[in-house]
This record gives sequence, structure tokens and C-alpha cells, in this order.
Amino acid sequence: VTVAIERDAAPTIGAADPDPGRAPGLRWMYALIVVALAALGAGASQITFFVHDLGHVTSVQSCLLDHGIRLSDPALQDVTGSSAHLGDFAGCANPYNRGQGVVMLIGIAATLALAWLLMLISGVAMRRRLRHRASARTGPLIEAARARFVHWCDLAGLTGRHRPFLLLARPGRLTDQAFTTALPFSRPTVVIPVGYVHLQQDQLDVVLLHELAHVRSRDLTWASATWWAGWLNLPVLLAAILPLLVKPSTINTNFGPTLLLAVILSLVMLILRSAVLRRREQAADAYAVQVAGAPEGFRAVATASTRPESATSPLLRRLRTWVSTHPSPEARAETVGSASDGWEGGFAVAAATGVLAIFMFKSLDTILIDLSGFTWPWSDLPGDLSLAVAGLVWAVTLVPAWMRRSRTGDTRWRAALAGSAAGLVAGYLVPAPGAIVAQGLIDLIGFRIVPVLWLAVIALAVSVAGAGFATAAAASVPRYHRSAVIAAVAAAAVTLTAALTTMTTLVVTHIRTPVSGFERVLLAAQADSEWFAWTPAFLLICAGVLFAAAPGRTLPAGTLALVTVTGALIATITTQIRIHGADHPDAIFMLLTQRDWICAATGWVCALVVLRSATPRPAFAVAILTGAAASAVVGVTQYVRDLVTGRSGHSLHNLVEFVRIPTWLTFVLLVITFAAAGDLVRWRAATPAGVRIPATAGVAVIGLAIATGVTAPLTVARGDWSRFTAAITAEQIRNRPADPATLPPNPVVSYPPGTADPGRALTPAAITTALASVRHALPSQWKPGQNSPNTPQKGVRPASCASKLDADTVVENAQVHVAAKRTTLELPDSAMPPLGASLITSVTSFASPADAFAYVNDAREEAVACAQWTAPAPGADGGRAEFTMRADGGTGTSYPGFRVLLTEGWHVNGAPGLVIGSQSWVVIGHNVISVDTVYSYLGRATVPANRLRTVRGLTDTAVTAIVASLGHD
Amino acid sequence: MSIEGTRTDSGRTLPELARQVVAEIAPDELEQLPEATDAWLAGDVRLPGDRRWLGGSIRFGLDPELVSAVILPVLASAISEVVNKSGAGFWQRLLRMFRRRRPDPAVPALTAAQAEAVRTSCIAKAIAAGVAAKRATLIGEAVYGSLLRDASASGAAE
Repeated sequence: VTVAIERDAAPTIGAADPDPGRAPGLRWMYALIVVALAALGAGASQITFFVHDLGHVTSVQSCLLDHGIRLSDPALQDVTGSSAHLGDFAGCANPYNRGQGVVMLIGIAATLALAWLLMLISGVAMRRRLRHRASARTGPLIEAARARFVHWCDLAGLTGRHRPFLLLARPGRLTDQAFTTALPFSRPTVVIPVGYVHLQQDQLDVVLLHELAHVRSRDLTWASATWWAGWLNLPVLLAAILPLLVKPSTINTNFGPTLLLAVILSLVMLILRSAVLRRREQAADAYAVQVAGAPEGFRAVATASTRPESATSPLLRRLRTWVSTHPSPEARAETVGSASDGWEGGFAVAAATGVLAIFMFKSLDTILIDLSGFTWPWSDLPGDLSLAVAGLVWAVTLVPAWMRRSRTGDTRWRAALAGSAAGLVAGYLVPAPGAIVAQGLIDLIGFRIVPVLWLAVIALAVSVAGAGFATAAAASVPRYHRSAVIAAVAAAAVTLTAALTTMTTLVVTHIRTPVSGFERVLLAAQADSEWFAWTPAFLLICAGVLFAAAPGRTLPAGTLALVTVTGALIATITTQIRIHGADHPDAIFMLLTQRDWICAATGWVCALVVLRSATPRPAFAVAILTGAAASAVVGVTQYVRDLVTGRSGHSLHNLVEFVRIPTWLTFVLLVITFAAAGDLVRWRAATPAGVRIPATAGVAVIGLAIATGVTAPLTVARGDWSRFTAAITAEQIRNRPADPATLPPNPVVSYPPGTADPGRALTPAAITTALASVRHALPSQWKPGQNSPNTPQKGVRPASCASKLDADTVVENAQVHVAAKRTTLELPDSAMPPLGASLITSVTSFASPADAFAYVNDAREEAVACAQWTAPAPGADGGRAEFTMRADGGTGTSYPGFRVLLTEGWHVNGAPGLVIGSQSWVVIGHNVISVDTVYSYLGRATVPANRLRTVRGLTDTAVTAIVASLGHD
Repeated sequence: MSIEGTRTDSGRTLPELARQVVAEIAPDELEQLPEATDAWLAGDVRLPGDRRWLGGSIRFGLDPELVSAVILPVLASAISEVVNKSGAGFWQRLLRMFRRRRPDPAVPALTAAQAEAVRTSCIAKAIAAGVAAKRATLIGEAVYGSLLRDASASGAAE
């Protein structure tokens, strides 16, 4: 008779907590895995779409060229934002974009579906394998084990259809360890090796309870899918890399960095997936230990499982830890009963969450725009919507994690906040995996240090706010109160969305419209024009819920009232004194904006009072609540002041504005200062009385500073309104690049003596004179060179370009012209390293202007048909060179024509070479002028911008010289 | 299923040796031994701690110490190592790694020196399998004692 047989079949509940409660949020960590997998799927499909040209990019480029829109134009954003060009752009790009959007959606759906299918198939397979695995043993030990299983199920509330099956399995490779397996919509099976009935009672208990914790958390299928996601990650990454193997030349595009990011994301996902699964095991361990009240039993099981470490290198051990789905037995033995080892919500997870959330924003934004085809009623809607969803993902992942961190008294906030901020910034700055071009803010700001710093400050502030809301929710009673959790998550999500949207708007405005004070006006105007100006109202509701769900509601009411009254007085008095002198829109705008800022500053000081006071909990939520309420109250007093003094009549709209703008500015102030106070969530408390005088004096000083213009650089300055309206007007009437297809007709001029119609039919002598003028217009180093034969290219791909080139050759040969001549000038390499340059000029005079125009039109159609092509290049890697041709601005004359930039790129043993040609075509009556400046560059795949300017300048100079010469008699 | 291994000079099979060891150091697990032996004879046992790929489940991740679960693979591995020390070449060992075969239950006759080597090997392998050092030593000693008894009985018979 052994000790085991004498076990009590109905054991007493552990001395610890019988129901430790379900820590929220682990499921959201799975959601993060889903997001990462989806991002990889989207990236892989986007790369495939691009590399295999599934959208026929050449046809899009041709279409855009037809409409005079150049993809390389740095102001393409203006083109897409211009109502004049939007229709053209959308008409050309929509088929491509829709295709890309659909392919991305398919990539996402296929990846996620595959993870789900793998979970399902492996679950079914496991069920089948377990069919004949039940032990044949019977006896008191077996019965006792079954009885304990039933008992623990009852205690865990796993009854009826929620109760799992117990399989006491005979020994074998498959069943040498306890595990639980499940399929969707079916009862799980807990598999326990039958030998475990010989374990000590407390040891068997923790094993049973560990498995029941998994069943109870209802995440078995999620965990299985997550487990598979780790493996699925690798083929998805391979799918992203595959195009590179098929078409190595794509590495020369932006695909290279994107691919690197895909690899990094893949690794991050693998580590994150393992971390989530480890966290799940820890939660189950904690549950088992707490319910059984048997830490020693668990420790014994964990210690008995300790194996000698096979990896001798510390780095290898660390790597193994990172990708392991279970904590090591040693770690489990050490952290008995602890639900977290500190990683959760720490630097790594917070950073990964930030990056993935912003990647999700970018992918979603791309898909929404692609699928909708620029037909949104509000152009910002896809971006705002995508950022809101990303904000929600960020909040639902991190806020619960930070709640647990707060609940367990973990004080390591700095790393968590820094991780979150770093992740958000990195997500913004790097392109999403699969993105062929940089997207979002980085596309515009590059790595300008000031905007990036601002982004970092806002990201940190948002993170601090998120941690503050999480801390507030963690203080709820009962713990993890559902409404408090929802309020905290919603508040954090809205804060992130509003802050990042505002910041993006301001940075973009700052770069595009470098007008002093523009951002200041726009910041206040956001409160009036954007949906997220309702953020403070929403936060007010959330903070109210958090406040109601937490104990200890004493407020320093006296101090708050005193500060609010002081703020109201300052706003009223400074307005009353100056209002009569404000007779210019600038002055009125400044006065009213200053008043708004005084209202906002009052709310801000009230929020700080709450944060510094010991009694109110949760301090962070109450601070938001109080700050917004105080600024709203002061705003209402100003509405009343205007009403009483007769400045304006009653209007509900006005009243709303008097509340909305100050609360919005309070929100802005709080967000910015949150970043400055990284330790806000555990700020040292002071007594309400100790804060009263400094706070009251503070609001008076700040109010006066605002009213006297001391804070002008941050709030409002004289002339802001005028500059703002002038910039808006300038933006509206700004000239756009001329469309070559819609250039004005030849100017009608009279020709004084000594001059002539440049469009007249020319003699060979006149053409020679005109071409000779080019040499006189250039520096003396330019020497006449040999004309190279005009041989048509062979072996051109794609076929559409080849047929166009062939057809043009035929037409050119059959062309009847009155006179024509071509000359070549050359510049030695010493004058323009590395290989010098050449300038090929020609003038062709046709029998009629219509023939001349048709000739140029043919050339233009060639540029359209051959936006991108390849042709044989002996000696080059792959045996071919890549050509591009795209419209490149005006010709520098008022005559019809166009300029193209032609590039020929190749690699020899991996080293790049490049030839660029800046070619202009101008038609003047009977005559066609063609100028082609050719410049070669070795060792890099792009030509420096200054050299490009030089080449274009040479072409324009030659054209101008010929036009001028033709105008002389 | 009865255990009727091929008898050799030692006159015993591995399951019998295992039973003797388990009876000595973990008698409450004797009840478990028949099924463990069946699994081992079917080649369906691995040493705890060996990593393996298994979809459709997330496992407990801990292997509580049970002598009955490890004794047969530990014994077989230790004896095989000692007996085949000089015989098995690299390719044979490599082949063995990839071949899942039914184990040979026969215990060969061992000299005292070989029994000593089996003892040492048993302890090392049991520790590698996650058995606590103290208990691994108990296993080693029990095996050694049993093998010595075999050796002396065999010598007496001669």
C-alpha cells in the first residue's frame, strides 16, 4: 500500500487564491501574432505583385505620361491632392492599385487561413493518433486520479459541455508528457501519461491544474494556431524572397531594404510567438500553483525535469530561450506562482507592438486606398480609419499587459515606455515589409532630425498616457473590471490616433508650407475641423468610467476651484482690457486664441494638481477628467462673458466651440507634458494644501504670459492669421507643372527686320547655321565629334515597346522632309568626369507643320510605349541592360514639345553602370528640333542630382540656342 | 504480453533487470512497468528531454521524474554503449540514429569491469534524462549490484 492509494479523492482547496481570476489580454497577444503574420502575408504578396509586374506598371506609367503626370515628380502628392489631376491620376492608377489591394488581401487571407488550417489538420491528426492510446490499467490509483480530475474541473467551473475529456495514456513517444489538445467547437482532451498517477499528490495536482488552466483560458486553438504561425512564418518569408531568386535585378530597387525588413519582422515574429506561448505556460503554472496551493509540488516537478544544458555558449543558450515555447524547467522552478517574468509589456513586446501597429496602419491604408481608388468622400478618411484600427491593436495589446505590470507592482516602466515609443517611431520611419516605396511620413520627412524628434516625443507621450490609463484600470474594483478595461483601452487607442494624426498633419504642413506660425494656427484649427477634436470629450467619458470603477475618490476640490476661478478671471480680464483695441483680424485672432490657451492652461494646471495630490485614485484618469472639466468650465465663462458684453448672441455652436477648443488644447498640453514626465504614473504625492498656492500662482503666471505674448512661439503670435490665410490662398492658386500635351500653340508674333519666322521651312544652310549656334552657346571645351549611326535596337522586351520602336524606324525611314542635319559635340572626361558627355543635336524641316507635329507626336508615343524596357547588352550581368524613359519637365521654350529622361542601366560583375540621356523634342512650325545630352556614370546606380541638373541644363541651352538661331533671318 | 526475451549467458532479459531495479528503488511504480516495457519493446519510447516536433498540441514542457519511464531506455543505452564500445563505427552509429528499431531485450553476459562501466554509464544517462543525481546514483548502484550478481552466478556455474 503506497501513500498514493491513500490520497483523498476530494482534496481541500489550496490555501492560496481559489480563483486567481483571468488576467485579461493574453488573447490580444495572439492578435499581435495575427497582425505580424498578416503583415508578412501582405508584404510577400505585394512583393510578388511588384516583381512579376502583375499590375502592368508600364501601362500605368504610359497612361500617366499621356496625362503629363510623372511618377518621379517629388510633388506627386500635390498631383494626387489636386482636383485637376486627381481624376487623371486615379484613372491611370486605379486598375494597378486595385490589383495590388486585392493581391495583398489575398496574401493576408491565405496566410491566416493556412495557419488556421494547419491548426485544424494537426488537431484532427492528433485526435486520430490518440484513439488507441488509453491505458488499460485499472485500480485505485487510476480511480483516484480520475476523481481528482473531476474535482478540479468542478472547481474551475468546467462542467457540462465545457468539461474536457481525460485520457490517461499508456507510455509511448506521443504520450510521454502531459498535454491538452482541442479542435474548434469541441471538448478538449487532457492527456496525462498514466505513469503520473504514481507522482506525489501535490505533483499530480499541479500537472492536472496546469492543463485545466489552458482549457479554462479557452485559448487552446489560438495557441495551436500561434504555434503553427511560427513555422508558417518561414515559408511566407521564403515567398517574399522567391521573387528575388527569380529576378535578381529587383535588388536594385527599394526591394532590398524592404526584404531586409521582412527578414527582421520574421525573426521578431518568431521570438514574439515563442514569448506568447511561454507567457501562456507561465499563466497556467501560476493558476495551478495558486489553486492547488502547492508551490513545492510544482517546484519538485520542475526540478525533476531539469536537464543538463547541452549548449555551452551563453549566446546559444539565450537564442534557444528566445525561440523556446516553454520557459526552462529551471526558470519555472524559480518563478513558481509568478504569472509574469517581466518581459510582458516590457521593452521588446512594447516595441514589437508599436512597430506592428504602425505596419498595420500602413498596410490597411494602402489596401483601403487601393481598393477604393481615391473615391473617399474625405481624402483623409482611409488614413484616419487605418490609424484608428492600428491604435486599437496597440492599445488592446499593451494596456492589458501594462495593467498586469501595474497590478504586480512591477516598477520597471522606463524600458516599457521607451520600447513602445521606439516601436512607434520605427514603425513610422521604416517602410512596411513588401512596400516597394517608402510610405507615410518617412516618405516626406526623410530623416530630418527635428520632425523625428517630435515624433519621438509624441510617441513617448502617447505611451505614457497608455501606461497611465492602464494603471488607472488596474486600480479598479473588482480587479480587471470590464468597463474599466474597455475604457482604458479605448482611451489609449484614441489618444494614440489623435496624437499621431495631429503630429503627422503638423509635420507635413511644416515641410510643405514653410510659413512661420502655420502650425500654431493649424493646431488650434484642428479643434474645429477634425473628428479627433472630439478626443477630449471621449477621454472625458473614459476617465469618468475609470474614476467610477476605482476606490478613493476624494478630490482636492478647494484647490481645483481656486485654480479654475483664477484661470477664468485671467481670461476674462485680459480679454476685457484688450478687446476694444483689436480692430484687425490678426489682432482679433491673436486675442481669441490667447484666450483659448489660457482656458487650456487652467485645465492643464488642474490636471497637474491632481497628479501631485495623494488622495484621488486613479490619479491619471482623474487628472484627465479634471483637466478637461476645468478648461471646459473656463471656456463656458468666456462664452458667458461674450454673451453679457454683447459681443455675440447665444448660439449652441459657439458654446460647443468654447468648450471644444480649450479642452482640445488641454489635451495637447497634457500629451506633450506626459512625455516630459516619464515617471508620471508613480509621481511622488504631495498634500492638497501644499499644492494650492503654487498651483494658483502658476495658473496666474501662465495666463499672463500667454496674454502678453511671452509664450508666442508655442501658442499664437501677431500676424499668424494673415500668414495662414495668405499661405492657403497661395496653395490654391499655385502653378502646376505644364502638361506637355496641353502646351499653348505657337505664339503669334510679327517679325521685325533681321528676324524671321522660326517655323518656316528651312534650307540646309539655315539648319547648319542653327546647329552651329549650339557650339557657340557652350564652353570652349566642347568639340565636334563623330555622328554615330542611328541603328535601331534589337531584342527589345517587352514586345509592346519593341513593336513601337520597329514601327517608328519604318516611319522614320519613310518620312519625307525638306532638309535635315545632325551634329554631335563632345566634352572630354577631364571636363566632366568620369567619361565626359556628348550632345547630339538635329533639326529636321518638314513639308508641312502637320508632318512636323506628327513626327514629334510619334516620338512622344514612343516615350509612352517604352517607359521601361530591356535590350541585349553583351558583357553585362544577365546579358541585358535596363532602359527607362519618362517625361522630364518642360523644354525651356514656349513651343510645343517635351523633354524625356532616358536611362540605361546595367551591372558588370555586380558593379553598376549608367547612361542617362536628357532628350528634348520641340516642334516649331515646319521644323523639329531634337537635342540629346548623353552622360555616362560608373560605380553607382543613380546619377548625383547636381550632375543631372547639369545634363538637363545642357539640353535646354542647346534648344534655346537653336530656337534663337532659327528666329534670325 | 509476456516478456520472453532471448536468454543469453546472463540468463536474464532487460525487462527483468529493469523490474529488479524498479522493485529496489521505486516499488510503487512496478505496476506501471508492464505497459512501459510493452512500449519499449515496440520501439515507442524516447528518453525524456529529447526534443521532438509535434503539432496539434502544446505540451506541458516538464517531465516529472519516474524511474519506470526511464529505466529501460537508460539500461539499454548504457549496456549497448559498453558492449558496442569498440565495435560500432561512425556510420553504424549514424545509421542507428536514424533507424527506429525494436530493441534487443537480451542482457549479455558482462564482466565485472563491464558492469562497472555500465554503472557509470547508467548514472550519466539517467542524469541526462532528468533524473536527480541522487536517484540516478541509486539506479546505477542497483543495476551494478544486479549485474554483479549475474556475473558471480555465471562464474560460479563455470
